[in-house]
Amino acid sequence: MTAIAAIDRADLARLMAGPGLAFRAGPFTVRVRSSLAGMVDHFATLYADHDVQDNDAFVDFDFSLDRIGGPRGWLRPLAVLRFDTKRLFEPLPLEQAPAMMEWGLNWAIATHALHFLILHAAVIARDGRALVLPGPPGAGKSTLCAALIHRGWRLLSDELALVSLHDGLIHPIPRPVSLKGQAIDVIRGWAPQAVLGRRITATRKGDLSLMRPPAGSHGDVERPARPHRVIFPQYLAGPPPRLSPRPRAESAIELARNGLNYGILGRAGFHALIDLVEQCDCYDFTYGELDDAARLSESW
Amino acid sequence: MPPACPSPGDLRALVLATLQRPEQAAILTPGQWSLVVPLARQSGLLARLCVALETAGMLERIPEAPRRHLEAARLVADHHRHDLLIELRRIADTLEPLGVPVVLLKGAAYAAAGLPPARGRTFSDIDLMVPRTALEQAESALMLAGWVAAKTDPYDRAYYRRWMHQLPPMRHLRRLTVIDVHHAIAPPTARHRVDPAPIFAASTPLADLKMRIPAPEDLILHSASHLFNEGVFTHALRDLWDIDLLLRHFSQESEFRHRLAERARLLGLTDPLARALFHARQLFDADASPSIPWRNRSVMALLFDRALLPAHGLCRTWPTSLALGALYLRGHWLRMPLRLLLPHLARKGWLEVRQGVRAEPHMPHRTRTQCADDLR
Repeated sequence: MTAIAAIDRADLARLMAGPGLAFRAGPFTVRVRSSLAGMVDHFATLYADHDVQDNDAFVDFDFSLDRIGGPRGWLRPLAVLRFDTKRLFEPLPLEQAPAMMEWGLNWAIATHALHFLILHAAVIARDGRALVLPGPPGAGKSTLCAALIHRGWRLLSDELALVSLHDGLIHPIPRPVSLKGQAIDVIRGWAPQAVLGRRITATRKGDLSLMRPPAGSHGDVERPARPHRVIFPQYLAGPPPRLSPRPRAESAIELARNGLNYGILGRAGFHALIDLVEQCDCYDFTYGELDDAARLSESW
Repeated sequence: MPPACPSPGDLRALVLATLQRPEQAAILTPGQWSLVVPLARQSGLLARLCVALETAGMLERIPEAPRRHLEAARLVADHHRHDLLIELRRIADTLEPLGVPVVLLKGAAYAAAGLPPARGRTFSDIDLMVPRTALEQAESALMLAGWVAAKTDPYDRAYYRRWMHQLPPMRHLRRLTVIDVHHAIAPPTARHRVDPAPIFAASTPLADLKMRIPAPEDLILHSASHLFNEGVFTHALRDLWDIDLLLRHFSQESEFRHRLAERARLLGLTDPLARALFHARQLFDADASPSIPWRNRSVMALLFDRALLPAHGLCRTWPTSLALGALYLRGHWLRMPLRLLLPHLARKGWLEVRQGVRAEPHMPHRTRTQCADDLR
């Protein structure tokens, strides 16, 4: 399979404006059509290592991202995201189009991929064993994840933990990692070789930048990992880093709270969650410095 | 849009063929599945497709990737039905003290009675009907139990109360379910008023719930009236399919069709029934006599045929949009006399324009983006 990087930029723009770019994202095939230059940049830069899919393969999720038409478009340049040709989200300023794309794909997976228990968590792995980092936005999981994948860990996902209902393994879906606010500069300093997309200002969550997953994330893209540990991260400037065990029962409840499709899966979701927690040691982790986190992660 | 796109009619035919002849699903190419899944999903037929394939023993034979989507849709439909039945119990408990007949309509009726259209169906609002004299008490009882008016605009609320056949929709504060409380099946202002009294009289009680459902003829007639007279076509193809399923189910009894025609005459709903029968035969009847050439069909039949296309962008060409617009206007015209209609439409039009030019996009609708907000 060819990677997106192998497509000439002009051809990529033509492809996206025409039949659309179809690519593999973990277990899914996604197709995106867009006439926006910013979106061509987004895929050329941040999805460079993703495999292109033939246009006659089955497409799981179909998106289009275009400029809004009509009188509203004359007043203010806005982008509209469509899933299955139906508008998803309210239109947002053009520069936020890449962010809309990522949010839209998260939504589509969480809503439709019901053969997985999907948790709002980052997942990284080493030697085939997965570390789950759950957390609502703001807890620091994406920043921690972005840092550790440049210190020997493989990225499975920065946002969606896909736990198979069939075998309990966590399936990889490496995609651009979201960095918000100060984390953007911190990670630039931490991993100067990392490729970051343009800084998007004034989103609902402040400044946002998306980071390309390291090339190493893709070689193992078909290989799921067995859950090994659950660590609930919390960024806390000042005090020394602290890793403290968390009872499994409590961890299960907290994970359920971070479940994106837990409710609808019913009994199957419950069993998958309990199986996961039973296999994992669970901890709370507070940290103020990435160096501390990296050092401690050697033993995780 | 994928290259060499088939016409809207062909796309619909593809979905219907897969639904009606599931044994042929194994020969669909991945590219065809890429069309069938979104088309069926947007038409509210994906879960039904899953059930049809499973019943025919075909589900395991289709490729894994599209199969996941079918199974997911069925899971959601089962979940909806489960939640709906619980919700109906709560509503029954809330309204029972009033001592008036509470008649479930449409989807809620199908689910409560275990009728064929309930399988593989999603449910949105819960429709029920009470006598007009009990409307205020019903509203109070529901409010006490946590349902509040979903529409906050005073004009909208007045519109419903004065002219329409239902209260403004009510949404439960915590559970977010929506109830539409009707007092008739058509607006009192409508050109062809439908007397609700015979419907109440012919309704039958449910076995395990303190509520009633309309007689089989009335279920079909209400569905036909809703589909062909109200000008709203969100799930048109599915709604017609519901009618077809009901017809086949009840027609097992030999006298049913005759009674249905009589009932339509009594209630003044012969026109929507005729349309329902015509379009169901055109779209679903495998042994339909050779279809009437387009030249010979009435304008209305052509318009409705457009409205019965899958609700997907690939089928939403400009002729379809025009047809939908015309039928929307017709729906309003049927509902309200001209002296009420013109100011109402003028106001709606003005609101659309105002929203269009406003600089700030308005708040996303909660149910569409609630999950999405969690993901940002």
